[in-house]
Amino acid sequence: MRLTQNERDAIREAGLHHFGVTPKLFGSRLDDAARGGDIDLFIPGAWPATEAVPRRLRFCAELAARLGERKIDVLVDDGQSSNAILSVARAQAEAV
Amino acid sequence: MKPLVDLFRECDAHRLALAEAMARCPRPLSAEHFAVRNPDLVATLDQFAYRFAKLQDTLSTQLFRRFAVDALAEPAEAAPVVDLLNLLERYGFLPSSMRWQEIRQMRNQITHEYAMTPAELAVALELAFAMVGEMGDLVGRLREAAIRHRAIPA
Repeated sequence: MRLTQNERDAIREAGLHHFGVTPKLFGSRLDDAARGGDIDLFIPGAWPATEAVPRRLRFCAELAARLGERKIDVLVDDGQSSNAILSVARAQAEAV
Repeated sequence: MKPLVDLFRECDAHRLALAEAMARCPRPLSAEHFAVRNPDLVATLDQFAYRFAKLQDTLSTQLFRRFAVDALAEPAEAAPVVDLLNLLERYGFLPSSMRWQEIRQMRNQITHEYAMTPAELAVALELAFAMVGEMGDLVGRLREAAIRHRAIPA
């Protein structure tokens, strides 16, 4: 998992503050041999859109305030949709 | 850096285009609006997202700094954006610097074709419409103060 300790702390704490869960990491940052790349985060659960959207804004705002503006994509599980990216995230994501 | 009066004019142009886009949008938006591709709605929302980003950028990267220097006489020529936000919060122009960060995140999420479900997109856009109102109120407060401090003509 290619995240600094500072990044992991910020992501974990922001996840607990705004979703009450530890976010999971998926995508290229799981690959220790790769370089760079966006930070792809997955929030497990069954979040309706009316909850997912405002919570994600506050979560990302806290991360931007702590880590500076970074390319961080946050996928929030609604517990029912199925598509390629959700399948990958549900299968491979690891707790930060 | 552009003169403050020009930056206010730029904001007004973006706000007008935002109001025009919102007037063409069905309200309230719901997931059903995105179930079938509607080219008019796509064009309207593209205009909305583009102008939302431009207004947010003009305020964040230019107007806040020019206002702090010209109207508040603060030595903010080279201050980081986060310091500018805290300054505007301290003066009472921004309700909170964190709220501004949320509006900034909205800008990023609606312009980067973020992977959202139709339901999320509808919720996000309704929140974004409300944020346009917040940004408009902010521009109004900053303009009044700029006039009061004789940084722009009345």
